[in-house]
Amino acid sequence: MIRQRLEELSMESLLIVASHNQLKLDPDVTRDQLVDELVDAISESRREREAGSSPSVRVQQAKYTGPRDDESPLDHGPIAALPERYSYDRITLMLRDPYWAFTFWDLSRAARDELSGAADFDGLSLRVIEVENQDQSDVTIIDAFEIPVQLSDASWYFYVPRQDAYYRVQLLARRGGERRLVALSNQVYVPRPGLPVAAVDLAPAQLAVLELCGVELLEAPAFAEQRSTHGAPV
Amino acid sequence: MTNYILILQSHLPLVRHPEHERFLEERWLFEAISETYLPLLRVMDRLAADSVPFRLAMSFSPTLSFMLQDPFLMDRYRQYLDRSLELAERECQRTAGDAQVAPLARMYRERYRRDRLDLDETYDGNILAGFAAYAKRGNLELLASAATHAFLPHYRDLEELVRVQIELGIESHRRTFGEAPRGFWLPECGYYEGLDRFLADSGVKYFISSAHGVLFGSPMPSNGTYAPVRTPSGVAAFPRDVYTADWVWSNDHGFPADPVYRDFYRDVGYDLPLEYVAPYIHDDGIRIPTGFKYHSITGDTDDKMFYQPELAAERVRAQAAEYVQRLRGHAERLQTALSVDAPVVTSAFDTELFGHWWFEGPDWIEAVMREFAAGDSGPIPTLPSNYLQLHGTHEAVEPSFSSWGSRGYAEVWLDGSNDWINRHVHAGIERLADLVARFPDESGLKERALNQAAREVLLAMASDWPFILNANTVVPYAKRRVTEHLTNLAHVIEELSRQTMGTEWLTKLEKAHPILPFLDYRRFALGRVASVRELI
Repeated sequence: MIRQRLEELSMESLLIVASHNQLKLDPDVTRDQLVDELVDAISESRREREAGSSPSVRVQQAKYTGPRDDESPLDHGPIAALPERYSYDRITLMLRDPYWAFTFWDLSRAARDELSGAADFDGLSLRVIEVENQDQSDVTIIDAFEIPVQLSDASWYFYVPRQDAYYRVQLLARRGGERRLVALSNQVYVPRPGLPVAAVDLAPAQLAVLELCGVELLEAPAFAEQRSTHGAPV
Repeated sequence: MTNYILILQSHLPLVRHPEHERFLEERWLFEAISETYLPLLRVMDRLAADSVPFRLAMSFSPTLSFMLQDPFLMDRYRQYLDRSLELAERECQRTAGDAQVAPLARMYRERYRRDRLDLDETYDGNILAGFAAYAKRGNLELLASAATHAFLPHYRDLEELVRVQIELGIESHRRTFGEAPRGFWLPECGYYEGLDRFLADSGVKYFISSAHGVLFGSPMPSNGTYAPVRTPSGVAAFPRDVYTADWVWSNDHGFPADPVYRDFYRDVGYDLPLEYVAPYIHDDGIRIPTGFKYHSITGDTDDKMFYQPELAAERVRAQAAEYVQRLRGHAERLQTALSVDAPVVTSAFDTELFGHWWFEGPDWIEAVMREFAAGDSGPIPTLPSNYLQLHGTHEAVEPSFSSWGSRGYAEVWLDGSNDWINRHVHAGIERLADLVARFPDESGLKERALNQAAREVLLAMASDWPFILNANTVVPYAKRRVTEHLTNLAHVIEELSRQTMGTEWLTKLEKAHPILPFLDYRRFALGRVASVRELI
């Protein structure tokens, strides 16, 4: 059906569909080649979408009916632009899963100007800190690591080294061999990535219960050793 | 004896565009009404007429509840039905000589006629009244959900907003259905450690958790996913059962994948000449589904067979019998393996699975309820509140951060396609809080503007927008919605700061996004968060 539908479209419409599907085209592409490329790209995109989606996600996708991938996207006119940055010094930490966290930050115009104008400014860093205390006003650092970032960066995904632990992120300015705190994020609890008991330590009765629960069908892997299924964010 | 809870969560984002004569995305609602909500009410009517003692739990998100009671959108729905009926007439004529397709065209004509009749004559323009009536009879338990279906783990650093999403959701439910809910559907089953406290504070007795949310909790529950657990705040968490759910919605072997069922994708909107379908697709000639689907799933082929409703009906009955039989077998194993006297299988699905995605789904629910009623060996269909009243919670467990999305956490709502939203929505929340601090107790036009600013922020928080960006479906629309809501907030801030708030602009916006009319902007203060940041 995809090919049949695409073959009905004008070259102009095919190019719009190609652009919508983020296809990089040879400038001399012929109509037939374009249809072939689109059929491949759309089929692959559908396969990926279906393979990577949980049942709840697949059903939900069907609720938002729109033009199919082989149709021109709808154009409701230009969209107003949101600010690229906000003028305050702030960093926020969010958890994607027990292995990956996302942080985004803003720098006030004054701070940005000061840093970029300083001769000793050597860049920004994210200092990911594991903290001891759940109390939001207390920061006792257990462990930390640093990620150098550019002044132009504004968000970052990072791998979380330890689970069942609390984390924060400090946004630091590196100046003349020193590190100055620009902002400190909220605290996030990173849970265990699976059952609270290791597979080998489960009693037969517990294993029987888990089997009845369909442990192999869970959206998240039950055992931490299966973490390789968690890829880096795309 | 094992118990069985079937729970359906119903949600659509606010999609309402009075500025356009016709707007494609409004069809999400119309399709859901015609294919899911009205068919489900008819299922309940038939079961009630036959005195089948069915039990079903359902949640309606505040945005969906609003739309289902909105005279403007219901008028648009009437227009949609009229257009569909016009196409049905043309299809009946076009296919008159075709023994396979003509009965299908007549089937759709009959369905749309019935929808028109039910909307105005049976439910007087408000189909939620139908669900409320079954709740009053005790067949149906209705749950609340978050104000604009925000994925709450994304806002764990802004706990006042999490509270607001919950409290407004409960208030909306109370105003819609006349009583406070006992249960709460967490959008996308999104939970994080400590969220139960806000539910408890709002009077919620139970919520539905993902299976691994409870299994990975502390300590590991001894009854797995087959008994509600008591969270640290005393709220019950019913873990969703994935074992039996897989029978229903596995992509490969789930019941809806049966080759005789109606195919979701094939539609005359794509199959027939453009000039013929033009009045029923998008105004720009972009093909979209019309709802007239004549083919069965058949298999992994483009060469689909024509749909045969009688065959599908037979399969529905057979699969319902098989489902209940399998449940009975599973229940016997549960009774042997578990320590709890009354295990409960909690089957939770998107409502729109039944009818919209799986055309025969509502009939399957009806057949399952009849199977339960005809048998005497359980499981017993029940309601979450009834179960808790009789059996309570078995043990204390602190559930873990989780969702029912792909891979079980926040990945669907936080990836490279949609993570940009968070900076702007978080900023919007903070800017709104600043506004509340500056204008703590306004009245008149300023109060209206502040209330509308709060609505805009809430609408930008909906989980639908990052979901759509992640799924790469109607991406421009999702981007537009996030941007427009936050731009509207910025406009209110600007106008209030300059003391130039215009009535005309505000009234237009209020008319476009009139959800949660009882909302009070004063609830959006973020005192505690601000003070934490000052400590830093």
